[in-house]
Amino acid sequence: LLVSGALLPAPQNITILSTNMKHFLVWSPLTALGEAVKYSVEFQGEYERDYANDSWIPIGECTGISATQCDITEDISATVPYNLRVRAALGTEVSRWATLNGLFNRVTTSLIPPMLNVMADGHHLLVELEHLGPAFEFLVRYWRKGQEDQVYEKVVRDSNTTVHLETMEAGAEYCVKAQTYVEAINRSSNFSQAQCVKATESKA
Amino acid sequence: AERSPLIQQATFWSTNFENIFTWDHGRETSPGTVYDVQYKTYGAVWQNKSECQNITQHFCNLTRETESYTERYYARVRAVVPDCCVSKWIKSLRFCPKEDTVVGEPEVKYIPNIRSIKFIIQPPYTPLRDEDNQTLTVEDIFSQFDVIRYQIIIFCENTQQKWKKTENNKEFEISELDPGTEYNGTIHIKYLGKISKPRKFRVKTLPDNLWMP
Amino acid sequence: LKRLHFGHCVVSVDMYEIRKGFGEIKEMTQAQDQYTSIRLLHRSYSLPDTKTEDRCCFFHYLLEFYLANVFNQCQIYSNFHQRRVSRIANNFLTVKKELNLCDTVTTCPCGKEAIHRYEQILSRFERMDSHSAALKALGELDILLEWIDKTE
Repeated sequence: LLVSGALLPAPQNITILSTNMKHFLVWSPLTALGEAVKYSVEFQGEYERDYANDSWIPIGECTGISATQCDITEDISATVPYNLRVRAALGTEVSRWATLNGLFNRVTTSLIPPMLNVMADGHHLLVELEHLGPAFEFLVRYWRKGQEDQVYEKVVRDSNTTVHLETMEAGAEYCVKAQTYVEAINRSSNFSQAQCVKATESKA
Repeated sequence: AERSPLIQQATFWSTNFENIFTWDHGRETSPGTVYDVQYKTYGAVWQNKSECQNITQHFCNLTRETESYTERYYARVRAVVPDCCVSKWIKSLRFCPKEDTVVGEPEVKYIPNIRSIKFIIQPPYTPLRDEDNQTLTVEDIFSQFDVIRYQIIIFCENTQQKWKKTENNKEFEISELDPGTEYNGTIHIKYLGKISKPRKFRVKTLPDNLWMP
Repeated sequence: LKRLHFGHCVVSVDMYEIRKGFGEIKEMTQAQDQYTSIRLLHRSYSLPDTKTEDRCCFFHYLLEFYLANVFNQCQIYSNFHQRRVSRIANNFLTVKKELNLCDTVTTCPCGKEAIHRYEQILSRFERMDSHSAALKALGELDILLEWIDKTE
């Protein structure tokens, strides 16, 4: 229990979890003080430091929250170093700001090979790609089994519908793999595992 | 004397660069109320739209006055109640034809064969003309700024599969289909990171008579 | 990304992020600009029509103009507005930093035309009260983005 007059402790273990350009700020809860503790998060880009008197900007959705994590993706919206800080509040008592150890730049996000689903619709080679948002492109490579020296490529930008890759030869087997590319940070993921499907035999 | 505004929602409605300025009239519009319309290029002064002075309808076609599609414009309207009063001018938001027009659905011709369907797309025409007085299509205009693409989403009744293909040309063929089978779907024009209204289609491939018993 | 070539120097502008930020405050910002007879980014001194050798310097001036005079002068209406301006401003700063990496002496010479064009914009800007001017300049971002798009 908080002895009156003693300062509310600042949140600890502030960390960023960033995967596929989705960034979360997480921290340890002040468990001793129960559910009534509320947290607030603020961010500061390089512009705020260089041109706006080191000002901080609150994240509306993470102001006075009980959770110990905040989705900061929408605010980490440029490839510059960002500062982040959290503080706790209990009633009228407010803790010191606890600032992330070091700056965060989205260029360090970890990019994971995309999930994909390869299908054959008769003679049509189709691929269904995971929807990761507008920042992502997919480099899709496909080849006919047995002709691995001849690989075709297609760049897919919006991935919310199954994409037609190729019209296959009857009875032939084709394999497909893909990687993501994020132009804003000029980085790619590793390639996914290859998946192979077979075209229906010809009906003629 | 100024009355409470009799006009609401003064706005441009634009499809395929046909730019119509419209407004809603207020709660109880007095009989005989007429409207005056003015327009301006952003950065310039207001001008009367001569055909839209003392009009009773609630729209005014400003296509000719807003022909320069990369320019920015405003329009405004006021109500005049005979023997009574004149309302304030109610202004539109800033309007840029190139950014704000909506591209309607394209016309599409389909030529079904036994194992394929050929699509021939006709992009919508605009009211705009080129130096040789030829009518311009939305493709003629937007292709100056970006690569225009055509997206077909096709659904096969037999396999219950739906897939999307993006083409760069207005004429393309989807091959290796099943004979005597119905396919339906939509065709869009993709431009400047936007997408046109969809043209729906339903077409059946020809039967393969060779195999008739 | 839009890539701008100034001599052997290439600068990338994240048009998607800037347009996304601006698109969400455009209507509100332009609606509050009551001086519709004044246009700062006038088409008679647009970036794409600037002489090739002056383009880099003029572009540099425009970036600094927005960073130093516009984004931090805008009155903040809401957290929503503030965060969108931050998105735009930090992406402008990214471009400016890339431009600074270029050898500005050779790739960014400041000729008379670049200086004259910038002075035209600044003089109009300074004739207005600072808040209205910053609001107008922010509302004209779509014009600047169009200039960037058209600049080969």
